[in-house]
Amino acid sequence: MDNERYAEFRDVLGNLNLFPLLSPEEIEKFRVPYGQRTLAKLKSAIRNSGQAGKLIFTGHRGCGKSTLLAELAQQLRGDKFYIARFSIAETMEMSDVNHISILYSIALKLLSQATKSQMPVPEETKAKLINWFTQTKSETYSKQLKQELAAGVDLYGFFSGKLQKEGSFREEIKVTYERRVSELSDQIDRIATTIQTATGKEVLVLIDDLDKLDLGIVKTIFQENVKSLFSPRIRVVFTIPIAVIREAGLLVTLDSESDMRAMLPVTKFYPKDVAHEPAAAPLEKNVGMLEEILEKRIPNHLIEPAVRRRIVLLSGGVLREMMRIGQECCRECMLELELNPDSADVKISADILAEAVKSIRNQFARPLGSNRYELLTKTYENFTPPDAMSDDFLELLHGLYVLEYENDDLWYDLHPVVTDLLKRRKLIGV
Amino acid sequence: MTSSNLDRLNQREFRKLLLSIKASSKRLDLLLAICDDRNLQAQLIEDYETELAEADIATFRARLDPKQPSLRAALEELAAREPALRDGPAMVTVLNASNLLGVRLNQEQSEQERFFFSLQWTREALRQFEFPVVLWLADSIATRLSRQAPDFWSWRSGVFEFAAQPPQTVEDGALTPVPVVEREEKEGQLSVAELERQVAELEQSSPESPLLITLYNSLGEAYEEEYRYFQALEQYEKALALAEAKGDEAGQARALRNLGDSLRHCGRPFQSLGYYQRALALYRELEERQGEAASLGNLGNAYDSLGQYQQAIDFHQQSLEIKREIGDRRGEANSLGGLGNAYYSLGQYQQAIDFHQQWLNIAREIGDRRGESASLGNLGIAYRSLGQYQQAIDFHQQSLEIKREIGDRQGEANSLGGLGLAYQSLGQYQQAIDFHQQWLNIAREIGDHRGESASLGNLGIAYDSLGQYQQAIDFHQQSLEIKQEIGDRQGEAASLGNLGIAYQSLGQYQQAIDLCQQNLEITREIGDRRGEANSLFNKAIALAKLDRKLEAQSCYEAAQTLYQELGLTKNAEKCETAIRKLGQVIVEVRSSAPTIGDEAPVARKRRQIPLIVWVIVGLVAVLLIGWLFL
Repeated sequence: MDNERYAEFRDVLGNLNLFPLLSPEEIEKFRVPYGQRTLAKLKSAIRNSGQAGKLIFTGHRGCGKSTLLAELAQQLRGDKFYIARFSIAETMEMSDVNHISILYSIALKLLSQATKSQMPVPEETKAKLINWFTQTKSETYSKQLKQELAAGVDLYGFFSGKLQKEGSFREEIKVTYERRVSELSDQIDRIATTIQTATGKEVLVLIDDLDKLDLGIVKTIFQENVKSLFSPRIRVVFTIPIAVIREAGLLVTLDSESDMRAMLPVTKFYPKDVAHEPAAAPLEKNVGMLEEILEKRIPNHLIEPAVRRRIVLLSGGVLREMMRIGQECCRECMLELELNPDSADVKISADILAEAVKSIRNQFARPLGSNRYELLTKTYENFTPPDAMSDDFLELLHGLYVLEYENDDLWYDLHPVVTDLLKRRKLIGV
Repeated sequence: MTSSNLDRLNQREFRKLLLSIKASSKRLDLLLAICDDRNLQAQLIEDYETELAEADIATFRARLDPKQPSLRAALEELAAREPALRDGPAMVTVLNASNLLGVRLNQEQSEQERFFFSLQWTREALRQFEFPVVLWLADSIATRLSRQAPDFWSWRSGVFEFAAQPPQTVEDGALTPVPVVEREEKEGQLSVAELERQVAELEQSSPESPLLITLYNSLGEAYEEEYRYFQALEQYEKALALAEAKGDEAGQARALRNLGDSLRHCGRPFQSLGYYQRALALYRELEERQGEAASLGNLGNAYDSLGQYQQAIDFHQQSLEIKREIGDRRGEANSLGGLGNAYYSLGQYQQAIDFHQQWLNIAREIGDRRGESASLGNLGIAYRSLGQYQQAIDFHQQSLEIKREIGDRQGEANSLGGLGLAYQSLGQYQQAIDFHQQWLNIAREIGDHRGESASLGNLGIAYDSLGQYQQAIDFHQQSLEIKQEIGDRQGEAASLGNLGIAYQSLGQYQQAIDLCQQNLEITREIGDRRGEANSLFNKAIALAKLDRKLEAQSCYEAAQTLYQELGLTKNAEKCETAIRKLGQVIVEVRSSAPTIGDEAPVARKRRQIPLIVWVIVGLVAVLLIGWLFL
């Protein structure tokens, strides 16, 4: 059973990994120019914003934000920027994310990166900056921290470990800075100044994965505490869930406080006016781009060209969903090879895809309650929901059931697999 | 049943799951397997583990801890314990997600909610691991997960759904299956369907009605009859909330007691205590004697489950006094049974038999079939511990018949286990394995964790007796994990002891000694004196193997004293013999062990001492005598 073809599919299954491309090697191997407009927009916004610019970066889950941020960092590094990129998820549990802990993480990340790289920072300055982290509200705690932070300990590992594991430490941080957020922000400025004077580069912080937070948490952070959050005098790019910027009140706040909002859109395959017509011709350029991504991961002899195109269209333009459909197809092919080891020419065909989509469709259907079907049907019929601010709708948007497309104005459509689901349930016409 | 007789669709899913694991054995991959049939699930896991072992992929199992249900924590803990996980191609099966409670109780988040929450940042949290993870979920949990942990759901790389198999007839060597008779309805108790209908209607028409308090409690109790504990908990919680809102203290007390019961039944005795205490306080305030007595009895049972027998006896005594005072015969019988169980656990079998006999008498007198069958079963267990196996089998048979007649599934399972143990004691291991396997199947089917862990432990012992030590260790390990999870201290001690014995059989004596020591510490902590004696005895054997004779001797002596105090003269004699032989040859007697399960300790078959040993002993003796006289 472990013949050559089987091994090929196994490798492809690995290539279609759902996790984002972050390492330069991976990017080198699989990356195709994607989201270049957004990337360019971000780059120019960063360059043109003031030295204390705050940028909001948003987009659907799984459409390539993390990879794009990694690429952005790579490209700007050669520029005049000193870049610190981190995932908020590495530093703490979701329940502890608030404006204070975000600021604390920024300070920590900057200082540890600066102390790790051989930056010509005077020892005394370094010691003072580190010392600041051990100054907490209760004296005994401060003492203990100083003792634990013996020479040679990795600063970031030490404090981020504490942030992650020790409830008492998180509490101490919260109590210490609750009413003194400005001090935190000053510390960030001090570290940034040190870095800038040592390297001659301006500091740019990229924070990933803030979009994974529950909507409620994000709202508190960006609505009520946005001023504190934006107070450090450096450039910061924040990732935000797409559903949040569709909330009118929050959008106003964000637009007035931030310098720019960039969105990585879902790749659009049809113009709105023909989107629901069965015979409509897709936008060749966009389909071609995603096909190219698949080509890098699935060799041509393992897939029929028409089916590759079909997979692209079924993904709705969301990269992770495209990978998922591809994975499912590989599994079906491998199963086929197991059952009939002699059929050496198995490739991803229309039949295989049909089997794979069945499984994906069920996975899409699982979280849907009956009330959601009605909302989906209406959204499909009108290209817009009855109430774009309703929590139900925002959740559908958050969960990729509904995709947002941008032309001159905003319009919505269902994910193609969901459309398929509704058709099968006879909720919309075939 | 093996995967080869799965139906076609399940077979396809199984192959796909297997090939996905194989394809990603060196990198992180999140595979979700959905199945409502726990027996099928166990079978599927075993099957893929076997196939993966053939492909040189190491398989591991991790269980989510209900006290801290986090996938990451479970995997980190496993990785710390199993360095092999980092080395080569490996995979991890994550169990227990389906057993997490969906109700909040008095906490901010339910176990399920905490679990979903912990999944939220999976990509980053799990990146350090380089192996695929198969997370097993019941269908309803999978749906909740997809809604409440959308980020995790979006990282899933495959979902494999298995449909429940139609029930299979079990091969039954000794017993002809008796058709299950429809359950006798409790007086005035409506069916689940009717109660559900009423709840729906009343919630619609008058959501504030105080009648709902009774209704929720009744529906919960009806669910409980069908072993649907999670659903029962949800109802009780609703009852409690409404009763609190209405200031209805009696309703609160009932809901609290019910919550305690359900928690205890689904393996969380440590959580049930608080509810019983609150119920007790309310009943006392209301001067409701019957409720007071019942809560005391519940506390007795909970402490018994936690291995705190002296405490259990105190509560049962208090409960018994009130019941006698108010003339509650059925309650009196229950207390007597509770006392019997506690004395049994303390190794005082004669006392236990007295209590169970009194219980049986009252049950027969008042026509309580359930009580009758339960007391018969417990008598069977006690007689077996006294070495009267045929007597034990008779009692279990009688008990089993009644249980099948009244449709008591859990009771049926326990009887099967009791029979298994008795046959085991008679040295009929294959027979014993069959019974334990049936017990395990029912326990999994009805979600009885205690039964599940106990039957696994007994399977381990049976395989050990057959000389299949690795198999035995696997079963004991599975059993141990469940026991630790549900806080069954006595069971935990027993599993450690059994593992010790298996390692001894493999010749790993130091390992065996360590395990016996852990076993010993727990038995002392919970006051289980027979367990203590057994672990001392087993430790002594291992010490003797390593030629640490002095230590071995003092262990034997300590065990001997305990056995004498417990009236277990045969065991005391064994110690005596062992001590005598210490100076001469290495003893080959293995003995006695560890208690397993609800009730039943397992005496182990004595290994025959090989003839050659006797010859040597004889020679030594002759030489010695010769030397003395010369």
